[in-house]
Amino acid sequence: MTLALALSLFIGLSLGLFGGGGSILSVPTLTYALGLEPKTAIAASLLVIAVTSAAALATHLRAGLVCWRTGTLFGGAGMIGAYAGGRLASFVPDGVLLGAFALMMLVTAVAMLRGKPPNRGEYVAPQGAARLSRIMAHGLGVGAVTGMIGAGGGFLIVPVLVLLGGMPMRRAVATSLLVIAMKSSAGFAGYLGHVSVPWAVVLPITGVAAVSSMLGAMFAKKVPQELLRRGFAWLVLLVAAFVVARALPATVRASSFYQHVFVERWPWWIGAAAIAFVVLGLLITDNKQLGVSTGCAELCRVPTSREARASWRVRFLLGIVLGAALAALFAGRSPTLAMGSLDQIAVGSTALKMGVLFGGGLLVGMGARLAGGCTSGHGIVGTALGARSSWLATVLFMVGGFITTHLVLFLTGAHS
Amino acid sequence: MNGKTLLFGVMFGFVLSRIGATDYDAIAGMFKLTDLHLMGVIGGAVALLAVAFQLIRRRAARSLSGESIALTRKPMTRWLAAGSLMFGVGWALSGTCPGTALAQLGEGRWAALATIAGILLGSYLVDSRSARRPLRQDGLSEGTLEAPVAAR
Repeated sequence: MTLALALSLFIGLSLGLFGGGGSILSVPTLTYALGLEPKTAIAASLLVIAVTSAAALATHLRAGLVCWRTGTLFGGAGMIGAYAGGRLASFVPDGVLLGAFALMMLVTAVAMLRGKPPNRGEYVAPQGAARLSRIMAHGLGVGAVTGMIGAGGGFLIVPVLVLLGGMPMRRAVATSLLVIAMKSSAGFAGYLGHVSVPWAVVLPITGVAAVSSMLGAMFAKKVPQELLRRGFAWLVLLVAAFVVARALPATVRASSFYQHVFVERWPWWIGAAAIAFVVLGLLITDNKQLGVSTGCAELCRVPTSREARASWRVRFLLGIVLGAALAALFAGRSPTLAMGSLDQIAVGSTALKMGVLFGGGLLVGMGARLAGGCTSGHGIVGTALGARSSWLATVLFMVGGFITTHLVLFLTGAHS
Repeated sequence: MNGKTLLFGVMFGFVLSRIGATDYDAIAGMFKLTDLHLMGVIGGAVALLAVAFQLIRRRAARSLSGESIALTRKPMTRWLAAGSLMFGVGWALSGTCPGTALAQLGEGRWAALATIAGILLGSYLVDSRSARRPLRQDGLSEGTLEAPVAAR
């Protein structure tokens, strides 16, 4: 429940900030963090999102960003579509629903990443019967699909408004919220007949999400539109990966190919080639020389320095976290507080374990900065360049580690 | 602003996790000399990259963005030896270097939060101190005491 509440913070932030991503986050939250049945979760998520997007909408309203004509037409058509979709959902197997959901997110993210830059001019609401009926057709189609899979549909509405409708990103976010609020209420009504909602769980989540969505909406006015669009695309990609990983059939998971690539430890020579590939890729496509600890130093300056915030190294570090999260997800590993044999060394005391890790990290951070690099910059890139400094550093890294490990083994009496 | 570096970061994090570099016992095994897997990964990557760097240097290769590729050797400094030993001690204690600590966090090994807090504080302490009173004559990060390799 604590996890679900923490996640609902993100549901609200995402809706307020991006005008979508609510259901992308809330369906997994309700199914995986709370263990609800897919269909119950989808119905509950529609309710959470209806309330949350209405809260964010109220914040955007005051800035005059909502395009009423487009929004109500799109939303009106969408409500009819969503109601029909919600009814139809009871005839479609859960696996197919989740698969379709994931596929659509993938297509959307790629379109948003590759799409043309957002319109900088003033958006003119379309006139004339032909253009208005086109908006309604978009609305009906998006509504049917999203109502069926239980999405508010922001992850489709924002791209349709931006890419097909030529609307600036910020206005698309605000307008999407209007559409989402209308459509999710209709979708929820469609589900209400054949699914019972666990209110005790759903209400607190709705409250947290609604408050954080208002914060997100206030924040959205300050973020550059280009960044907003890219951030949106990355968020959608990440959650698509999450849904795909969780929805994979057992036969695929058991195949030897899957086991070798995603579950078992790679042989050392493949690991060596993969690391060389990343280092060279960074160098050849972008002329960047890999070094993680220099990035860590820049990460420390992020709160105070604009330069550090724009640094490629900081983005690279963020990528490391995401990439490892994907790896763990596909390997089927769950989050844990365990840390291998350190748990025995710390004789089961969490405080001692965290203390050792913090102290070790402190030495790693100070040492890397004093030495001018760490395992990546000195140990891999520097040695390959044949730099004397890097060879000396790397040998001393190993010597320090060797002595410490054996000292610890000796002191804990584990040395044989 | 480009997503390429983020994408390479994602790949790097994925690889670090897949080769088991985020595993506390794999690092411990490396220092105990009972599990030489990671030694092989590092050694193999160094060998491959040494050949690739030679090629880049000989042909004065350009990056896709058209710049000539600048490979910089890090300078030898007064504090290098002491810092490296310190790093080694920390590496063995925490079972991570800066990159793998972030990867551990991504994998959901929450204890890595303590490690990362230590790493960030450590880098901050050294950098803020040297900003006021230089520990070395040269710059903080990749120095240029030696000319870029590709330019020679």
